[in-house]
Amino acid sequence: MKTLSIITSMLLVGTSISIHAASIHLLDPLATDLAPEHIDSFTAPKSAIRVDRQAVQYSRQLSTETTLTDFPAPFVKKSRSYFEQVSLVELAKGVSLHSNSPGAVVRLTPVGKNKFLLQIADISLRNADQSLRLVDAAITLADSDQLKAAGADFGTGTLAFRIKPALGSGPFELRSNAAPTASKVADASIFIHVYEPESKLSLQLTTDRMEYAEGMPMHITASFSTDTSTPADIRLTGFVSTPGSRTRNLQFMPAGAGRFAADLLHDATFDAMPGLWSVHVFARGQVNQTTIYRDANTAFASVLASARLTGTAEVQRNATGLSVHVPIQVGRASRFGLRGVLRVMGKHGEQRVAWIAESAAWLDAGAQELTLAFPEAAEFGAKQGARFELHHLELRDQGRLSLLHRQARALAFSWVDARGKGKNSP
Amino acid sequence: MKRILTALCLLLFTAAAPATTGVAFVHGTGNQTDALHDYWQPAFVNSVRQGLIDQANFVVINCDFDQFMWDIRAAGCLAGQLVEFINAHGIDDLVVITHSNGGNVMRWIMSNPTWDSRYPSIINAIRWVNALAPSSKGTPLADAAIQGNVFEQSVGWLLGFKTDAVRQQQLSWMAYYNANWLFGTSGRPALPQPFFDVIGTDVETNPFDADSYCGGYSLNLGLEITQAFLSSCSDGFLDCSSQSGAGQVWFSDTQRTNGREPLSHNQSRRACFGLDRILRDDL
Repeated sequence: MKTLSIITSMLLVGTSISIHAASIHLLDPLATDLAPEHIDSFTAPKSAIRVDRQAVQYSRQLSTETTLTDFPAPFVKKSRSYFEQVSLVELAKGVSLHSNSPGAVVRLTPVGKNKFLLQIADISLRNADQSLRLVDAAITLADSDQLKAAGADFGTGTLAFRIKPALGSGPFELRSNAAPTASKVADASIFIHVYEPESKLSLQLTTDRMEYAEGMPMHITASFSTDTSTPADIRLTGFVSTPGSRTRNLQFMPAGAGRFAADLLHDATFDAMPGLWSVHVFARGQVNQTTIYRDANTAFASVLASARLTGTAEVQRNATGLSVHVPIQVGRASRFGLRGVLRVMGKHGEQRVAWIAESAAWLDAGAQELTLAFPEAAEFGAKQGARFELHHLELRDQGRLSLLHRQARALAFSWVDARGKGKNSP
Repeated sequence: MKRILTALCLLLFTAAAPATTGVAFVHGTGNQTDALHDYWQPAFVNSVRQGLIDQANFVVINCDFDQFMWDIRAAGCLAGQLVEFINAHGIDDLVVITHSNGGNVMRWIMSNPTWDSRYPSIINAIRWVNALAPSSKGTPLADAAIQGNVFEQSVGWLLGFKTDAVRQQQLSWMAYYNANWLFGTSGRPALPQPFFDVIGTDVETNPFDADSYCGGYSLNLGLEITQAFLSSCSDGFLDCSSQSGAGQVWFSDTQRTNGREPLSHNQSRRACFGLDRILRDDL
């Protein structure tokens, strides 16, 4: 009943009956691939991901229309917002909102042990001409319940409003008329988030990869993007934060063309907790004698090599298909998953058909192996000099949610090679 | 067009043996214990399941989608309830209806078949997924919620704990997961079964327009603010580009709804403007 040919099996690893086999070397990984050369030593975190212990194999045919990306492009974050935290005393005296375009969206969230809930009636906004009550200065206004109902849980007591565009771009002064007299609110403060949807000035932040293995060079770039005047006297600070709430400061240096860069060698052992790491950047600059603030963050994966591919593979054929056995050196026991795309290539390099196969099992430390089974490959095996290529070979530590190896093109072989006669040809 | 072709293929392949069709409702972000009443509302679910030959063949999922999608309390819980439903009712033709982040949890299962030995049987039972306003590429609102939630040694975590589901739906995080762990986006393998997007394109919050009240007027008020964080095409929580970021677009709201009304993010899980009838006719 399915339009796609799906063959699913739950087999013990390595139980296929071999007729012919050949051990061949994986192609050399490209610089854009991810291929750790050694096992990392690290202290396993206490909170491990619960994984299945049952081995699973799965394969299906892929559409020949599918074009797969060899190197995932790093995300480019563009920010037109900033935040700051002020005390209630400061807010009572008046706090500057650093906006440079009309219609800024302002969010006020009480923070601290003793949260002080702001009242709409107590808040006023002043520009060069006048002081207005919030209800008169805002074109839209929502409280935390309304925002939560909209799917945006900004925290209890949050007030969010959009300044009437007719009031211009600022500067504005935000003030609360509620005097924080009670001692219990002495340490309460307000988080202020200012977002300028109409601003032409954004902070762009990106990394040069989506993932970094231990010791890999990391290049972070940040720049202001604008179609008006470029800010002067730009200052940037930033840091990297880990899933375990550890931080490491970044040093940004001018990198030409208005860009700033921070370079470092990635220390994956700094935190072994599963999850993405984040880069946070805080920037400010001067535009027309106005100080512009922007904050941005983006994410990357930190790779601790709990296992690695040894660099060889064994291709077996049986009555119906092909199996690719991939040796794995396991440093720390976990559930590991292997995935690959097998392409049948014609004489002229055109792709005729492709399958994706996956295999996962719990593997203890030591020399191990996972097998990718392509049950339908035999149909194409001996036809017209067809050649096989294994692309997008990926090894994952499922127990630590970590992609350990990603290789865009990993193997090239013919049906004859599977008999053990030939060598791998790049 | 692809959807019609898929349906024709399914018809051909199923001509020999009638399938047992079932429908599963998969909620979005949140820890649900009574999603029928608290998330979907019975009017919506009961209307949709009228399209089943056996109207008892439905399940409303209740899981903790405040967690990361791969978590045992999220995808693990979803897999458990789907397998139980499939086995108890003999379902071999499963239509899954997801809303918002529920689409990501479903995509996790479909993209990582070897993660859990229960996943392959679920994938094989699925006819297709109808993803209502899926947050496939995240939302700037998650970025805004997390922004400021950074660790500074002097003050600690400024805004305290945010759920992992919110972290996951930050734009940069979803970009990573889409590129490395999930299928169905550009440059990635297609999902093993069709994943059809229903796109909400706008929000109406006019107090003098009765259409604004469908699904609960108060639920739409905050969307006026959240829309400011989004592009001109959005449902108040997600940009259209996020909703259409994985799988293939089935339709944008105004193409099919009664009166060509847009579906806000809250209305795309309610019996508003004939959405329930469209989903019912699809079973």
